[in-house]
Amino acid sequence: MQQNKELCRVEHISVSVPYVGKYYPAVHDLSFRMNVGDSVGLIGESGSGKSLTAQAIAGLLPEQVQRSSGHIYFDGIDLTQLTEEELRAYRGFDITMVFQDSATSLNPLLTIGYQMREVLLLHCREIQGKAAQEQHLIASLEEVGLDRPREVLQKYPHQLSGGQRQRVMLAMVMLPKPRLLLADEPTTALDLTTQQQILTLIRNLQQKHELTLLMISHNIQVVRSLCERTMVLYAGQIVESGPTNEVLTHPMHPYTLALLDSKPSFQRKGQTLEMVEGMVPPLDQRQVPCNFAPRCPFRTEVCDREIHEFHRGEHSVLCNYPRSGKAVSV
Amino acid sequence: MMTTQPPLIRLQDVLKTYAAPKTSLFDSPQRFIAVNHLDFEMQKGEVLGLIGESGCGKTTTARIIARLLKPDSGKIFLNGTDILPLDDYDFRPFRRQIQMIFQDPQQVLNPSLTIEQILMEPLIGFHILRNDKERREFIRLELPDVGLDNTYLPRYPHQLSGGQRQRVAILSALLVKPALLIADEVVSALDLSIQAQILNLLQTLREKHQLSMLFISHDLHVVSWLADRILVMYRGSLVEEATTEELLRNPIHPYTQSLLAAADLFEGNLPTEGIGWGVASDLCCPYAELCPQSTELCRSQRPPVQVLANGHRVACHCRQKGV
Repeated sequence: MQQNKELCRVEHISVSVPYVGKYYPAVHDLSFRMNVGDSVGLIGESGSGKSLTAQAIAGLLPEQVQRSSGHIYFDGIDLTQLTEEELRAYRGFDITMVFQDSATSLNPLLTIGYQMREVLLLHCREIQGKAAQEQHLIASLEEVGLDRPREVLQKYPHQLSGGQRQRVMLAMVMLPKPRLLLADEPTTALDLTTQQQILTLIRNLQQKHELTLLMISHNIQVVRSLCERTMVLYAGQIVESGPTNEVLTHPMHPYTLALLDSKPSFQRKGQTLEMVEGMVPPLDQRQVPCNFAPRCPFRTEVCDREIHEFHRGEHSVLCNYPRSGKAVSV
Repeated sequence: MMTTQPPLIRLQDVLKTYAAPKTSLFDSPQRFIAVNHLDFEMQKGEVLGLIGESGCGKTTTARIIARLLKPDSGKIFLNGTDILPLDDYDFRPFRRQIQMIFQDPQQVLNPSLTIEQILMEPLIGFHILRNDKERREFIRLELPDVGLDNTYLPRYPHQLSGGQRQRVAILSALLVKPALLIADEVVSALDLSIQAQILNLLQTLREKHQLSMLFISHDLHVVSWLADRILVMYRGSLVEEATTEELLRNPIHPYTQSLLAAADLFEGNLPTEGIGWGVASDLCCPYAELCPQSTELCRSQRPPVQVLANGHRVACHCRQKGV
């Protein structure tokens, strides 16, 4: 019903971070949009700017980091023009975020119940009365699949397992009924089996509440199982984006191709893993137009001067020499 | 008479328990069983993958083999010699045989020493070569093996990237030419492309030095790429062991099946959550609570490890009844 209605649009965002005394762009001219109910995956290696992108949207950039340019529209309103005070009407209400490490997101000295009530007091003022609040908390814990929610409320974070803590985090961020959930590697610290359960939970929550999801991960499998659209980030640039099926089975950017080829699997047993030499360049050694050029096997002198975007349907790639999009088996 | 060569490592009935946290001041002390009567063998030149979720005793097993931990009971044979009764002095020649590399090289490499000093330490410690001059030459000779060159020697660990630090850690373990390399989650903290570089490196080194490796990881894809055989652990017990091909084609234990399903390698049920730090018991199957096929027998008796064809070993009651 509300499909194709735009919820969030990021336009030409650049984020600069200090590095040995100077500011360098860690996220460079990033643009994308998310519709209501979209699930978008953001893949990239460490240092590619994934988390900075999410923090920029939530208005949670660390103080020493500068957002040098660009606009973030949420529901038609430019978040970058709002004061800190005005931003608070969105952050924690409409836009919420879960992080990788649930142990550091929760206060170890307070019970789960205390911390969840705090969220209710701040962000759900319409729920009045102790009994109603308690009811609401228990319902939300049940929704994320926690047994014996009454007991969970009285527990301290260290008394829960990693998977349970991440469930509590999800219950917490869902309390204000957000419209946009930014999930920054929410399953990375978990075991494979627990990871699958949390992913299923996120998918259920997303469908039930018409949530828009930005899933940040370095794990291709996570994004594949959860997201309709995928963006591949390399050194602060979106190098490839499109429907997940397209991007992860017929990649066109040499980096995406290398990323998929470097994945070890039983099918590749005994074979050398294909990979690009080198690593993501440090901030002071990035070169526009193409940051991948120094590692790219298909680089020519054109790449040092300019870069073109290439589109095929909804699938777009930032490369002068896009690969044919041959099928990759993973 | 020809005697067959003893296995490189043999664990016999190894048990390790830790004190379990008390829930009440007046509780009688309980023990948490970290490794529950584990038996396995490793042959020379073999890569054995050890998988299981966190808390299942993978690392404890590795540390016991490296003699960084003392088991409560059991025997460990290295090339046929029982190494547990040896005191630290007698163990020294064996210590050189077993080297270990870890997940986070940042914590392994001394931050106040240069890479060269770090690499000198094992050589000096084990009295390898006659003097420091020879040792320095030896290090320079071996550096290209792990894809580094002389320019890294005067640097400090913080000046290296995560992948480079892991290369240094690998080299410092291999300099003493160990018989067994224990790799504990060595690629877990690395990005995909760096992970591929380190895995390729391990594979090359393995072929070059006929290295035997105990490779611990929770990532089935990584393990199945590298290992010849895979051993699956759950709550301190061995649940299944087979060659990689056999395990992926024909997983028998329900836990193995669910683990493979979670990694998209097998069609089957995903496991349910509920793994706590409960005190594992000898009186039931460790997987009984979560197993969809569990019966009364599973809840009252610990399944014995059975050996099937091709050295496939599994500990499951259902298998015994031919279900």
